[in-house]
Amino acid sequence: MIRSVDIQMLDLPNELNVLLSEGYGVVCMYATEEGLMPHSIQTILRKTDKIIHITTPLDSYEYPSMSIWMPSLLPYEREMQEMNGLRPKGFTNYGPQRIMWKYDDGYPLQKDELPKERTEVPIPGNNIVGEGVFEIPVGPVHAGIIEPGHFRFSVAGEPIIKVTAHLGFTYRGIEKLLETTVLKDNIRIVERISGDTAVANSLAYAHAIEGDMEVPYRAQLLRVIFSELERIQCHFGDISGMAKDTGFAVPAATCAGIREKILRLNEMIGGHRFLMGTIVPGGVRRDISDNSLKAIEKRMLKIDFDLEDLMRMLDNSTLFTDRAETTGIVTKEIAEELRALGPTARASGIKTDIRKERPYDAYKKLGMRLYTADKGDVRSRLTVKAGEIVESVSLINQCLDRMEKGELRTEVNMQDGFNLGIVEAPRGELMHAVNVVNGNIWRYKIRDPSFINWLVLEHALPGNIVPDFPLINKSFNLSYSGNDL
Amino acid sequence: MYKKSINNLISDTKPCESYDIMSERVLKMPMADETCDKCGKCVAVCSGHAIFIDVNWSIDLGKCIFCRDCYDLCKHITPITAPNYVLKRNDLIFSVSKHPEPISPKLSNEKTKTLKRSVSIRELDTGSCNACEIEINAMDNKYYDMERFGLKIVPSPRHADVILVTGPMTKNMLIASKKTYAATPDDKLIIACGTCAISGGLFIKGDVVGEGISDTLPVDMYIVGCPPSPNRIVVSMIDAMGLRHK
Ligand code: SF4
Repeated sequence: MIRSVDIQMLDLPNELNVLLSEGYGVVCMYATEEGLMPHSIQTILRKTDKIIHITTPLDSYEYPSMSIWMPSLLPYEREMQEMNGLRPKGFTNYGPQRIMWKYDDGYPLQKDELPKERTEVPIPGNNIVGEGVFEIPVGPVHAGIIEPGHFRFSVAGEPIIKVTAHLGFTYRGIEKLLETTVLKDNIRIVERISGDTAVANSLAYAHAIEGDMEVPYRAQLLRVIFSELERIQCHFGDISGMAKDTGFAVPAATCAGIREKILRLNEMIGGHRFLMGTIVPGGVRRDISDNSLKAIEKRMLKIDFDLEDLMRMLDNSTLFTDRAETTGIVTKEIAEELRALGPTARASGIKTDIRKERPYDAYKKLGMRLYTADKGDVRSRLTVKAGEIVESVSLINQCLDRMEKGELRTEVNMQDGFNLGIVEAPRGELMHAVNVVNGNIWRYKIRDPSFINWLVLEHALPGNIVPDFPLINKSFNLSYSGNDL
Repeated sequence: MYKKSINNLISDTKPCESYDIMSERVLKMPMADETCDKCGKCVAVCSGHAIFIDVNWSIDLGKCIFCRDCYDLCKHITPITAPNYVLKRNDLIFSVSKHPEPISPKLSNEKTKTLKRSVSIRELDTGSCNACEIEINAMDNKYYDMERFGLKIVPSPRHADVILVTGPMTKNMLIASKKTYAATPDDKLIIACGTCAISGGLFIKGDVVGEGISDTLPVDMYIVGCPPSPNRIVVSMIDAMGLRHK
């Protein structure tokens, strides 16, 4: 249920304050270019399954900054400044959010033709000075096989004082690419926003296009199976990474092996190792045979045992627990203030999960338990992720039990207006919002959970030592390409 | 002695897969049969803009994202075995009259003269979606275990013989990529891994430089796939560098 309201800029701060005290949280804030008016700001708030969509028209390129008193808006304000040229008044925390250049006269998301000339914007330093304080620049090309990102560590000896993440190296301009009519190509692009969240992204896209439409029951069940397989695969990758970064090679290799098995299962059932091209607006693309269903069931049975072994191995190792406990703590206050998402938030004791709060597809009929931990350290995030794997296995089994023959797809007619797709990706709440005008996508907004959690990561690091950064980073497992788009 | 121990290592008694098993799992690409009437419907349905029709039905495998939309559309289009890699960009264009051949071309001696049995790889992400990275990471797991063939990933371009490039070369990564290229000792090989790196893929119209990385870096070898599966990356490198017979 989405409630749309128009609120003037003058009243917006008050209105947000009221909604916040009622328990709403900002899902996303973005700007849309609109005919004669320069811009309007769209704010989407959510409290469990109630969603409010606020449109605020602006008559100039300036508006009073709101992130000053509401820190969770910080990344959005920076983003709007960079992508749409809206300047928040009173805002000092500049710094590139995504791109390291700017157009002299124009903005990346403008509807007019883009200017050719662009100037480099140097990456700012941390500006922390003092005796024995050093700044270590790292990246964008890292030692491991990971995506590009640039980090500035201010350190005094080993302990970190401050870290800033400068991302945007994988900025491909996806939001702009999606402003078309061609629906068929869009889903292919959306799948490639972030390779390991292909299902979640295409599902969010499908929901945004479908609106309130229900897809056939079999398609709903298959969608859940695909999403949960993706979650299992992703979480095993994380656990493998965490074990590797503590130098504990055996569980790391075991996890990588399990992940490979799931990728192969994916290839067998969906024809693609990351399940790209399985979900379409209106249902799923292909049926899966009874043999494949049996294969899934068999693999799920095995995963439970594998995971148990693995967790025993990790829990019994002082080498691992010593590194993982009390490392990279995200307190509940910080997580609430910045509105952390996904396993990161759940590891800090926040009970949030779209699958439970605003169930979509077959999740409405399935039972699931929410895993939380309360310490907010690397170990908590590990236990939450391990718990979620168990839950995913149970969800898949429930789907297999309920599986019935039936339709796979229905026709979708894209409706004009605003629509929203919110799903729980492996990394947290993922939102796609679409404004359709005359059958054309006028504005497409993607908000990946990593976009928020990068900010949370910056707050989890101070006080830890530099060699723990890879471990903490892995326990968050944030997506660079999902953030950059 | 050495050969014998290598043979032991890659035999099937170990959990990891031998070269032969790995090379059996091939990629399938779409190809029209002789009866194709060139109606052009597949050109419209192809998201990667890979299919084009001039004299014959033709496909640019460097642009194909292997979504299989064209199979669903037309019964004339059937899967055939795709090459794992090619050495020239133009070799990726196939047509009804030019099917891929089951040969694996070798890099010239000139290029591989510095390589003996061990190859150090530096991975460079120029804006990929992370799927290629996961696959390259997977090359290290117990199924593929690339180190037994002498392939290993090194943490710095200074140590590398090969730069394995993924992603469509975003404008933001341009400078860093050039610096990485310059930091790698000479006689280096550049491998474009995946559709984005070969042709820019779906992001040609986005914020990227040129069409694929070949407009920025001199590419020696193109590995096909979106993303290429780990076994095919390993097999391609073994074949092209002749690591099995050195
Ligand atoms: S598989 Fe997809 S991308 Fe490749 S030729 Fe067919 S429709 Fe085009």
